[in-house]
Amino acid sequence: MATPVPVRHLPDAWIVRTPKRSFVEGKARAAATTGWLSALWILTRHEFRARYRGQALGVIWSLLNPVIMMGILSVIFTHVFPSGKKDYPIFVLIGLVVWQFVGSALNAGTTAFVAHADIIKRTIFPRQLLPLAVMLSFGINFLIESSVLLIFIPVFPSSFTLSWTLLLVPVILAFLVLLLAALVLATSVLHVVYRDVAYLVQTALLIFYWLTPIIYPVDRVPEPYQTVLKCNPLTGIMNGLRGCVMNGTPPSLLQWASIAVPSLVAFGLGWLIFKHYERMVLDHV
Amino acid sequence: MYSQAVRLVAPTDEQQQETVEKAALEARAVIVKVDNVGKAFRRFEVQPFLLRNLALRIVGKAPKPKEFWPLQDVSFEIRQGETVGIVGHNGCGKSTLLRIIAGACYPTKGRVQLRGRVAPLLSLGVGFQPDMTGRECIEINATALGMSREEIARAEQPIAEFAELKDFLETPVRFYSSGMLARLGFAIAIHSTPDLLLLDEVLAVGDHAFQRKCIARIRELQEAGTTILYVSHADGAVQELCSRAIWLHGGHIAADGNPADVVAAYLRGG
Repeated sequence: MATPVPVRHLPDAWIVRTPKRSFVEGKARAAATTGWLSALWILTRHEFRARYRGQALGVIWSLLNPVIMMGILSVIFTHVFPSGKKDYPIFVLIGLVVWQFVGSALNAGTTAFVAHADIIKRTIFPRQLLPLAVMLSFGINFLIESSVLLIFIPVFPSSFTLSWTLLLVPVILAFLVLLLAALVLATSVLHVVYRDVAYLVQTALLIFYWLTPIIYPVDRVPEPYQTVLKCNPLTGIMNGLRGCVMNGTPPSLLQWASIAVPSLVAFGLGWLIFKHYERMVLDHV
Repeated sequence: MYSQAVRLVAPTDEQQQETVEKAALEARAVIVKVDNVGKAFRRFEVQPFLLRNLALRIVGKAPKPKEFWPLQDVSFEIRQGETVGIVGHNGCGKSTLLRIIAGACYPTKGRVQLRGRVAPLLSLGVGFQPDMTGRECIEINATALGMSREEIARAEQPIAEFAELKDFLETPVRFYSSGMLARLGFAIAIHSTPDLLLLDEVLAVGDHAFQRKCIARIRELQEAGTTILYVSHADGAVQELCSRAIWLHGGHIAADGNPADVVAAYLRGG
């Protein structure tokens, strides 16, 4: 190595790794965030594409599921146990599509680190991107599945109301994504350390399927239980979406609170849990 | 770490050259500082969260989780433009050290500092999910290396060309041979124009022609001023490429200095 080596300019900021954390000393990095956003997008897209690779019907599978369930449930709840709700098919379809997003995002997001051990062990990027990308990839599914609703507009025209409240749908969905992000961040790191978590999530989802007004309307539930049900943020989210799409009624202030407060609190908690266990992921996965 | 005994004798041309080089090296900026770094792993003999063990823990009779320390009290500094080879037996902690520097795991004690853009190539395959296509691997890994979208778009063709995978970019990597994977990983890492390149045993894979190509490329990077940390248990490449070598033994630094001396000591000591 006798040849003089050109000296390249090095940034002044030191990247420091200690047992507790890894951080940049000195100047903060501002430009880095855009890079991670694009990484999140690439991972999400990959997750979505990989799910349907080698399948003939691809995403049509996830369209079929809620439609078939809607058909079955509509028959049961209009003929076997009449619910007295005339918009029942669309009511239940919205519930099922949202629930499919919640259920699959949580199930897959929980195992994200274990399933993607290769990426985690060998590349260096913010680990939270992985469960978030898995969750968001089911968000793409959700958007595609929601298009089924468009097909049913001519079939059940009286179940839809075209009004300004449709503009609130993205806002409510943003809170749903926030809530799911919180849950997935927490369960994905916990699952690496305690492999029971995936089963716990499955069981919890089974319970919450019935604790969320997916296939029945909340107002049919007798009072002490109705209040309990309304504490579930998913109740507010589902009813808010239904109100906006079907009746053109925006959520009440109390409903907004029941959507926003738990989502924000959960996100804070999820982030703390994630940060606490993040370091263990690398050694345990 | 140059022997004091040698210095007492009248300096030969070679030694003078060496002193000049050493002075030039000291003038250069430090790029990596490793300070008393140690890493403990749990042995995972006891399943800590098994119900029985949880119960034992509550009663206070749980066995303490056993640890082992593949790396203990390692300290060194690397200056810009150096190519440092790390040699040692299997299990001497060299890959762990590289992973800690790369940020792929945390040290249990001590502190690592580095600056500039780091490109780690931690063993074969980099971060490849089996059902990703070659192109997706390039995108994801290049993003993880801190490349912008434009940089990735520009680098995609050269990477494919270097890895000799132009016709296989849309193929899921689970259909790749191990040689193809190794070539792709290496190609991505070197095309990110890193300040610090971390290589773990990469030259052990790939055929002879590709190895030559990699070495030629490493030389180009060296001439461009890239700092390289190269982990290997093969002594040949270390002597060929490195300006300095570190011998790790039992988690400690056993020797640090001129590659020929260190490798000789390693081969003798091993």
